[in-house]
Amino acid sequence: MNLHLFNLMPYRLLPQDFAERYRSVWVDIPRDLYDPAQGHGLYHEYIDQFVLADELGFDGICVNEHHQNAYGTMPSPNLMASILARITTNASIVVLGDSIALYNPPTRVAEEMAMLDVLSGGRLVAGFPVGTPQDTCVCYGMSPATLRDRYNEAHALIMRAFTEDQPFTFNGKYTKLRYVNLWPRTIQQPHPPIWIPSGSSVETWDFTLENDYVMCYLSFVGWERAAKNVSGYWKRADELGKDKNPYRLGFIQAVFVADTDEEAERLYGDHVKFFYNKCLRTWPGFVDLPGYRSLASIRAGLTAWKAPTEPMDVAWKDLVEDGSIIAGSPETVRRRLVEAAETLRVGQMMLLLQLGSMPPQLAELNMRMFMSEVAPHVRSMWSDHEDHWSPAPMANRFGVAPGSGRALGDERPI
Amino acid sequence: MARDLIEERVRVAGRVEVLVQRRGSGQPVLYLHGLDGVVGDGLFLDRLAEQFEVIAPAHPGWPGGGDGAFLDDPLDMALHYGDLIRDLGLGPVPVVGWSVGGMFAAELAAIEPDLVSAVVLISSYGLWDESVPTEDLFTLLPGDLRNYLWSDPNGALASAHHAVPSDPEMAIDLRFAGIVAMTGSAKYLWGIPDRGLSRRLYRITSPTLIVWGTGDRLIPATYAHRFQAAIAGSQVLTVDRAGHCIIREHPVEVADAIVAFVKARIDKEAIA
Repeated sequence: MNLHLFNLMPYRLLPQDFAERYRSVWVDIPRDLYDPAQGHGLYHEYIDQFVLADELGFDGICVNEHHQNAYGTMPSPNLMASILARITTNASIVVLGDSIALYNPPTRVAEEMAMLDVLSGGRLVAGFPVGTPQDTCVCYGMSPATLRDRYNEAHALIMRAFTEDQPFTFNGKYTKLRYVNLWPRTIQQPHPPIWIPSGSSVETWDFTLENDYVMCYLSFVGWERAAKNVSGYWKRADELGKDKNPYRLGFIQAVFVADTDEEAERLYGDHVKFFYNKCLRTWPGFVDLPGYRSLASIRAGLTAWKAPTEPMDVAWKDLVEDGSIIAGSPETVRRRLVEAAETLRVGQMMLLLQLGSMPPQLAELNMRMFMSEVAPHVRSMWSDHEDHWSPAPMANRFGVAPGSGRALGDERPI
Repeated sequence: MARDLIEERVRVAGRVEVLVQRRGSGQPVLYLHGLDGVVGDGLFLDRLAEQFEVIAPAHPGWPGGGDGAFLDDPLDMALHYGDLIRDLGLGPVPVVGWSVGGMFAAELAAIEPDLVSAVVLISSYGLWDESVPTEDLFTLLPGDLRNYLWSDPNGALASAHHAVPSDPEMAIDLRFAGIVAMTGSAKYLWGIPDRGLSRRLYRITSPTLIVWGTGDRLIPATYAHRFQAAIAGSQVLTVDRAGHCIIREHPVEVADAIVAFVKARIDKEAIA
């Protein structure tokens, strides 16, 4: 099983009474809650955690795209990926990803992905989400009625740009280009692995399976609640005649390790509750937009409208018991993580080890304990399956001399 | 008094089949419905149908209107209604449009002036005033929307309209139809509902009546005067104690004003 570190880069300094005072952490959150001087430190803090992850041997480091959002302060994940491509050495750079319907022309995404792949020596995973309704339709003004159509067209254009050797014309509905000719080319041929972040859209299951992409189930509901949807995905794989290789599936899971179960709650409890009770507070009107979900999906799963929740007050115990988080002693975490991975049949485990207001010392403790006490016991899972979906970096890559910020001298390939 | 109602499916320009309601007889009048379809407009249409034959098609993309995927924007919709007028042999015809239907009626009158003999725009979308923005209806919670639709959101009319059927299947069907209608509306109104109509309003040459409720919380009544300023010779009628659902709150008053307006135009043309 591959173990990737995901970091949302939250603005972890929201006021304690945020949920009582404001309706949404996303879209229309007051700007004056962001202190750029603090933000300066936070970006560097999170980059340090990614660098540590590379040193500790995580298989991949994951960045993603959100807009006007306090729990994810990466409007452009490519900017962060670019830094990481330069200052890390071995980990896959997993960009999960660029919301390709938003970029005009979408070849800009292909170009930046190609830059990242070349810069990192072929360590890139290219992720192409449709994007959340908040990010795409509300913040970036895309009509939900045409978002998926734009996405499909952008995907077709980008994949042709990756793979065609000659300049070509592209006469799309949304993009018309006389000369498409991707420079630079990607190191990974014919293209970097494609991973598609998604929730539980039947259309996305089919899309990823038919194209042999990785489907990344990204939500914060935890593995137990996700199990029903994920079993639907595997059922669909069967129906489409695809093998049930666990490396087809990515899953994000928050994990917190300490010496004992009690110590985990003492160390991490308040920070995790900060995330669930404050950072997830989103105005429901920004979420369920007409046309975002296909009418077929809605018809299939239609239930009564749920009134907006009051500020949440989730307890640590509940988060642990319902699988939203996996937390406790190394033994507890190992047992639950294996249980989750087996239940979901997931080969690409994306771990959230920093969450909410968690300061860097704790996040780093969590990362170190995870890699020393948990990872060795779970990595061999799925070793009987071949991973077709991880990057294939070139052998002689540039590295950065620790502390210098400069490329290594003598080891430079000519 | 309820008119005999005929529903038929009409194929338009070989591209789409839409449900068309017909009421009354005599001079035809084309009615283009609002956000949620034609279903709640019975009293208003019945009153109009005492004097006219009222023809009320469903927009493609709304319940009853078939798949609207072949239409991208309000101009496409206007072309579709030009096709419908030709296919049904109605033109030139008075066109009454409410809300998003008003936007389509205005586009139609601008690009197919020979097919439209008079225009009535009721609480119409299509313009944008930065200083008085229209409400962002798609990010309102469903339970909150009614507060923006009615001048008296808790009155008997609003309560009857938003009542949930006791039969769960019917309740789900109704809710699903509402989602379909909002999905249709979002295509033309998403974000800032300005798709360039202001650049085309000068082309409207037919007599135009603009009707607005002074209590419209979705599109403030000041928009009536923006339409009036852009359409030569147009008249404005404002109605007090009326919200966006003006034709449901004041069906008789609004219908009678339209009858008088249209009849005056027809009589004038007959004399000429």
